[in-house]
Amino acid sequence: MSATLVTDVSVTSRPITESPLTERRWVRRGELLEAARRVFERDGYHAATVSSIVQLAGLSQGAFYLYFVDKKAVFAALQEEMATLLRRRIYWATRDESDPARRLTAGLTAYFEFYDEYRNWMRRLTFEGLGIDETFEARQVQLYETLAGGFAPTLGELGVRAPAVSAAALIGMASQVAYWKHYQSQGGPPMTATTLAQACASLFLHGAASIPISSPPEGDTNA
Amino acid sequence: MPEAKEVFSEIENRIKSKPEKAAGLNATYQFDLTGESWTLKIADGAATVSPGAAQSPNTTLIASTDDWMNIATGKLNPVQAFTQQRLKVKGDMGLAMKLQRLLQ
Repeated sequence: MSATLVTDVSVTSRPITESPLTERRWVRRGELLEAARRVFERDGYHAATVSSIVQLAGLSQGAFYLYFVDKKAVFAALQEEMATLLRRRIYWATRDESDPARRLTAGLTAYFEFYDEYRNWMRRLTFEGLGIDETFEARQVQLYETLAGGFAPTLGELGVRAPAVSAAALIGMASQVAYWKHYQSQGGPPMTATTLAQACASLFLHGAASIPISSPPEGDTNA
Repeated sequence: MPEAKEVFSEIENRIKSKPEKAAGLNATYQFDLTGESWTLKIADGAATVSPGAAQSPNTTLIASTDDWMNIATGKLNPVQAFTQQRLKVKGDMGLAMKLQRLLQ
């Protein structure tokens, strides 16, 4: 995997020179970010308000504007923060795996585990982030390109032709499969992140007929 | 789960791979984990990681080894860790923020 290691905490929304950065200020900013994520997950981007964010954080409206210009700014900060978290998780899950097939499954498993943990955020991001404005779309595209760039060498090692476009397709497939698991699938045996990853890897490399039988049959979905 | 040494080695390599991003930054960071400390020195684009505490760190990051490793490997949200006081930062917060940008 060539995914880059990222160990930042998050992006800054305002130049830190505007006022002294103290631990308390950093904590406040973190509390606002966490509250904002929960509000966006619950209400969606368009229905979320600064008032609802500060209410959940237990802070004043004025406190919000010390750290973020507006709702878009806090959403953008979250978008970058969550992207960093996902990239980091996949990087470390695959970094020391020398076998490309196992590396592929490990990377996909990390993706599905992340989706499990942050499913509501991922759902909002997928379906609303792209519709806000081009800056949000650009960040999302950058994330997808980074993830695809991380998977492409592994696909190349596995003999996949045109690994770049194949990796882009793999990421798209994983995103759709994760959404299907959490928001469309009804019934069928429970699928863990590892099971999903194995099914995706098998489907991608060997075709649908190769998916292990532990996966739910087609008739169990409403997709 | 990798060992702390691997994570710090990765940080060192990460900075070395893009020295232009660290140009002009001179700082000593100390990481206080459970029963162990690590020091990261950055001077004009060069980074050096070594085990043990620094003599006079500009910034000290404090966390349990488990929490730090989970943060470093993407399994623990650092914002949550910070607001829950599982990750603490002492000293120059501006330098802490520069480090996180550097490693982005």
